[in-house]
Amino acid sequence: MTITVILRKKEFKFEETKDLTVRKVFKKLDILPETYLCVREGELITEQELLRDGDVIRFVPVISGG
Amino acid sequence: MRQHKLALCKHHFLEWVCDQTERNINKYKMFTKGDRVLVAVSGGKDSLALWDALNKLGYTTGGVYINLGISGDDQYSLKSQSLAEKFASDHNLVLHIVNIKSDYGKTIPEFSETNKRGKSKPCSVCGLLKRHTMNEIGSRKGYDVLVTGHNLDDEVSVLFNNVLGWQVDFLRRQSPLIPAKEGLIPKAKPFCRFYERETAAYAILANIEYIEDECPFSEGSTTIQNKELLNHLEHQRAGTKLAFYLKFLRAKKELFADLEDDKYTEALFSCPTCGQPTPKQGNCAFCRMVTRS
Repeated sequence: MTITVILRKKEFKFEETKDLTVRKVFKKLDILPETYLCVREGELITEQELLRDGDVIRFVPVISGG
Repeated sequence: MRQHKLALCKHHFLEWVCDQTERNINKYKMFTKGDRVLVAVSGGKDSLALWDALNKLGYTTGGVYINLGISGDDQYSLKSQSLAEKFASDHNLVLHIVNIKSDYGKTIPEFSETNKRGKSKPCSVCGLLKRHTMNEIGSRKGYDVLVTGHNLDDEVSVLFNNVLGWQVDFLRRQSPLIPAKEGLIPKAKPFCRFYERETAAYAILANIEYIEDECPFSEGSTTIQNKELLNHLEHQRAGTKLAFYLKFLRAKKELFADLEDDKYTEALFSCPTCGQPTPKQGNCAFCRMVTRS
């Protein structure tokens, strides 16, 4: 089983899902938690949330403006 | 929300954003429930979240959307316009739509190609056009105040840039409320104390459909570079951005002892073509750009 992360139209797969939290995924992808929110099944989840096998999560960018 | 040492459920977070918005409006004396408020709507998270919060708080609002004619891979302007229209229609609110190409003959990218101001990037042309158009609509339609969805990160990025360049005049002017001048309606930023992470969270939790894609021209912009730098500082020490902004607002009174001095609210000239104020005699920068192009 895997966890799928969608980030700016790209997909990242994580095979080792044990004790994987949103915060750990941020770290693995070298992302500052200040710059993205995480959505699972349409619901906002926090950095501390434990991810489950088969989860598809989406990172929503929060930085805007030019 | 590490910076506030606060963790809220969905219901209380939505309530907190509305309460804080009202608090900001009152604290900076932006406007009252008796005023007609024009919301500058881009179709993005900040402006739609702001419109939603003001509507929930019972303010009398209308929106203005400016179609800039920016296409890109995802038809940026068309997509953002349809989201702004959807929000207005779902909430039974009035949205004034201005199409730059129809009204002035060219899109923003086309204006920037033929204008010195937009030589490297269209952002400067875009800013000029938006400021002019929003004030024009606000004045013509009888609104008392124009509000924008600028958030704390926007304000801090500008502040950081102005400090780096010691842009004293810009620092003097940076404020949650820019008061009215002859021919200019006041401009307010009720979201100026919210992190953009908070405004994005509000938009998602309130089920607001907004355009996630950025303007294709904003890639690599100074604002975004500054935001990334400041987010690194924030990550090391929660609350850095908020403290930088709030302490600046407090320090302004000491930095600029002559803040209320009339020479900084000097009379402007009136543009003979459009009638809007301009710092020099003759046509304003907007009319010069439109007639020259």
